[in-house]
Amino acid sequence: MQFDFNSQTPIYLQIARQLEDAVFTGIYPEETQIPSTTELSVSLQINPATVLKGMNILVDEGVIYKKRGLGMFVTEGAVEIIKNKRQTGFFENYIAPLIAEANKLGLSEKEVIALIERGEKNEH
Amino acid sequence: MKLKSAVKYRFFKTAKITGIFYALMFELLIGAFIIRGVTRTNTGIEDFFPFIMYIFTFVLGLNAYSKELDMFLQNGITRQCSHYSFIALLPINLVYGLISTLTDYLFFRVDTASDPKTEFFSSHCLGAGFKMPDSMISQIFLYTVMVAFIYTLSMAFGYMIGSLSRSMKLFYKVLFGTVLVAVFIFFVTLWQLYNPDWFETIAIILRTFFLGVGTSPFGRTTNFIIATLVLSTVNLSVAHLLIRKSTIKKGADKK
Amino acid sequence: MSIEIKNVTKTFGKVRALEDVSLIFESEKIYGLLGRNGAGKSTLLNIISNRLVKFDGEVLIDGEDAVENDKMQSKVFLMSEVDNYPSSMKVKDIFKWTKEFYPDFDIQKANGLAEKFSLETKKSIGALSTGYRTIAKFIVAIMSNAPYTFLDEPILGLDANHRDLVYKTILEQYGENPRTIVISTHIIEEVASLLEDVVILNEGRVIKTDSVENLISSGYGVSGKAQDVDEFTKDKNVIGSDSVGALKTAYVLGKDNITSVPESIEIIPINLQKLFIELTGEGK
Repeated sequence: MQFDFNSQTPIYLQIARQLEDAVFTGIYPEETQIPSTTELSVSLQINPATVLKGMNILVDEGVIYKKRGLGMFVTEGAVEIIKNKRQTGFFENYIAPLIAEANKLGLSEKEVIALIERGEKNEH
Repeated sequence: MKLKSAVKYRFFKTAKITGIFYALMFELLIGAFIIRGVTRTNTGIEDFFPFIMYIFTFVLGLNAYSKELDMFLQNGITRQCSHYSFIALLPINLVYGLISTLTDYLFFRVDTASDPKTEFFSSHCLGAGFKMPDSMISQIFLYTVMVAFIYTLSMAFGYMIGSLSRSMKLFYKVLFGTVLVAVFIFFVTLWQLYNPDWFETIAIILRTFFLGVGTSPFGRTTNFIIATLVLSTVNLSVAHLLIRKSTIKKGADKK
Repeated sequence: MSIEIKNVTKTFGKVRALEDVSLIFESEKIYGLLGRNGAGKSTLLNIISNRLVKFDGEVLIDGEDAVENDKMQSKVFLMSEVDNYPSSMKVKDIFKWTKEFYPDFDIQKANGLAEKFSLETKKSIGALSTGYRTIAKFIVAIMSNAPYTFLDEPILGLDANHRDLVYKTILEQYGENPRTIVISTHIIEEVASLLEDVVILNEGRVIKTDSVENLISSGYGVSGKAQDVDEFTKDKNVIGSDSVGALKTAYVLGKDNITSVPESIEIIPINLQKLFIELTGEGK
């Protein structure tokens, strides 16, 4: 995991996001254990309280849960939860900034749509 | 209070220094013993041995104040604890006293015109106007005890000087030392040149303070013990007052 | 359970090293005690750990007065720049005696850590290089397991590899045995991510106590053409600025709600080191 200590986003949010990515892409499969706060803290050289704060965000979202005495586990259906969350946020996080930037550059709606279509074509 | 740990530390440190000291000392004494056997004359060590012991205990006391304090402060031991642990270790002087007596019998009985014990008694007892007891055991006992208490006083005095030394800046230390030496030379010169009456008076006062009056050697010795204890307590108290303000080594005085 | 420092003032002759310092070190947190050289950090640490006893104010450890208090001082361990061990004492003996005075000291772990650092414990502390002396003292401090462990400049003189190992060790040991660890330093960049809370001292006064997170989000940088930057920040709390030709970056304190940002300027985040520099610059 990589962290940008100079970014606008607080570290704990970055942690949450990157852990979420790892779950989403299957690096931490559902019902398996993720590294403990201490393990992550030591390997990332970040204060455990910060790590815990990031993890708690995922706990609140239901992506991971705490098994008493054992540690943090990925919940069953976590991938689905993340997908839904990201679909909901897709507009906010990607579309809106895209349109703003397009306006800054003076691209018309038609031009933007053409670009999107080109992108889709390249993907397939 | 972590007194036990502090005493343990002091004990190990002291034992190490004592071991080295006695190892050297005995080499010297054995050497002197052999030389005496061959040449049939005193080497001079015999006269110096008691003074070497006085200096040794003084230096032990001197070091005991400052060196250990830094280690103690590093390890969360308070100044009080450091001070009391020193006091707890004072009985070691009884051991030193015993060793001195043994040394006396081992090294100075043979082929010597005089030995420390006899010298001691003649100046301290006969000189003060009382006879030493006849029984050998009493003599040994008295000697050991009296010498042990002199060592105690010497150690306490060294400790007190150590406390003064630490609390004074270099400038004042030099000033203090110079003044002391000047006063000392002054009095010695006075004594050598004029030998005034009041010198004799001072000697009598000191003798009375330490040895009291009366005819019983045991009574006199008890007086001696009490006198040395009182003086030791005074020294320890001075050190105690100074230790309360003591800071860690020079470095800490900077920000 | 905490260390409370109440209105502590300490003067050395004419110099006021600490001025009315009040703060709290809570249990089980990693703190940064930040300040420039001469800001008063070491003085404060010496006062807490009973090495300086003449001062105005109060220091309470778990509610009890810290001065000359055996019970409370056994909960405190200070690793300082000053060498208080006899220089002829071997490192392994230092471990032995530390265990005597701090029963929770872990000799096995200490030896293990010494190996990781390639520290020869048979050597006397006086014979070690400055860097290795720091390492030896660090090992003793971190393995003491004292509930309040203070590290004064634990990375001074260490190369990058050793510094990395120090940070790892701090987090590891904190994870295994959570306690209050206070890292006092003027080198901030590397250590910032380890800290939960921070105390900033400047010229003997406390100028900030807060969590790292709050501090970082309490400010931002405004970058762009000098005119535009000045216009944008004219009604804000500017604590400093950098200029390169016509390009200027101003640093602002305040959680201002920035809704409309002119195109000519950019809002950039501020990191702990930058914030520290601007807060403690000359003439502040």
